[in-house]
Amino acid sequence: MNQLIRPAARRSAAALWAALLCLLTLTPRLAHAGPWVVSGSVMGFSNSTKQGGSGPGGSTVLTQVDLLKQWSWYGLGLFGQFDLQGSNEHDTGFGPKLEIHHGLFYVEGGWILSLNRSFTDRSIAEQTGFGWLAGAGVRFSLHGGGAHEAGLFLQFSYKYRVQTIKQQDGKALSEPITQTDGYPLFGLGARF
Amino acid sequence: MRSPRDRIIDRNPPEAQRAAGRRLVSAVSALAFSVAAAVVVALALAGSGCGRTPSSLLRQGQLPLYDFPLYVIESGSGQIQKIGRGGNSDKKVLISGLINARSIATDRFNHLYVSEAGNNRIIKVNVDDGSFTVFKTGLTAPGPISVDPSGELFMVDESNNTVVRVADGDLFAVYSVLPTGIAFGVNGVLLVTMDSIGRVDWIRTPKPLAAGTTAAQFAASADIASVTGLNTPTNVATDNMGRVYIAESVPGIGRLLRYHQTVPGGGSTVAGSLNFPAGMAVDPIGNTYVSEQGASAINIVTFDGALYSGWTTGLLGPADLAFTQY
Repeated sequence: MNQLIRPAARRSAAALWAALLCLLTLTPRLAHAGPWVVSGSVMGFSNSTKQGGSGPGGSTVLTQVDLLKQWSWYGLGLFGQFDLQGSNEHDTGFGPKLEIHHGLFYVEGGWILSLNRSFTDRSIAEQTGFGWLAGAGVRFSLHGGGAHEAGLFLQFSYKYRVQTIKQQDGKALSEPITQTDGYPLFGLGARF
Repeated sequence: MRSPRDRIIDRNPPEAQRAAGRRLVSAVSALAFSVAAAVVVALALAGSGCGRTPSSLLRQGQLPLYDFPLYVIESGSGQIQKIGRGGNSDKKVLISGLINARSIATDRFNHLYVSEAGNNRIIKVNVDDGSFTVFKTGLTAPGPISVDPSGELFMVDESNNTVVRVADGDLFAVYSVLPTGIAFGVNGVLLVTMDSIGRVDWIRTPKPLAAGTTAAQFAASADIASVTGLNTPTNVATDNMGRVYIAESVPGIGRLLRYHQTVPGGGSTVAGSLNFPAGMAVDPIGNTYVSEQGASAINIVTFDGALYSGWTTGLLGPADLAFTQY
């Protein structure tokens, strides 16, 4: 199955990076190098229900870490995601991302090159696949500086994510599972 | 005397060129941002969906929402009926010509699975038009089926008293007697009924077993809690809260029992004096639909315990029931 996933993943990733490279090389006069940005964001909730005995319940924590280089109106970098779906499921994903910013606001798009779900105490142990990420957000400087000045900032964003599960316990699914999520993230970051 | 060319140069000093460059950068930036923002909004709107559609994948803390349409096996006619809220006035044959259809199950992707013992296979039915594809063939004795929280289909292999995952044939439970019903509940607990010994097992954290595992080895190693002393517990189902419903399939004195989710406590009788109850399904507000083979009907037990007979009648041997999952 890896042979089925990897060529498609490689082609998509190569196309994405080629597009980003074109942006960098073809617009040198428009692209004034800016700072590096590193940030981390998180969102969590928990719930429990009871009707007689204990019903469905649990906690979810969604996180994302970004590292990117900013230019005058765009940025390129990498992101990683780590999600906890209760104590039974851990999701991880990472890949390249492109960001376009304008003042305080930014939008982003990323390719989840590698997606992995690990389960404990479930009838399956692992699911793998790939996905896409899109988001929009705002960054507020904590030191009163401009949108591109070095320093700490607060970050609020809304993500839209599409995950496609192709393999389960090392075997190809007859029909891939496609899951979409929309969720907010809140975080802290720094430009340097 | 300044030439026209000089005046042109004066109007385009380096500062002016830089200002023009900045304006161009700003315009490109604003345009790119606007286009990208529009794409993000379009994606978000496309992903949000409208109306009720089966959920793509359940997240932590969720169980399926079971609601109409309701599907029922007519074992006497080899058909599966698709029934809407109206009951008798809102039913139609979804598929016919089945040979010894033993069990049905739905998943979160709007699939309907049918265990067809007469053809040694499990089929996956298109619930819109009744067409189907063969999901698994070459089975020896497919019996009751159910879908776990991960969307995996499980079945009882009646040839060797086991519960297996259909996709890969992995073994998950082994018994010395025939399991007659299976279902999944909160945290993936696997529920197994054995009517010949009056017992229902809550198998917590079901895991694949090594090939060749014996019933004794399974009983010793698995995390199992049981309720015993029941009178012919043939079938089992769960509701939106994960509560467990057990049908005692006895003519005239059949009962529908309810238990807590992850431990076999809190047992109570939902309905009694039923005439061979064979299948049950619970709607989002807690009304229980029971197929009574002895009455050729599906009856309703409301969430407050009232029994309404004859909600859907004229069924030939109604057996397994399954709601659509949302």
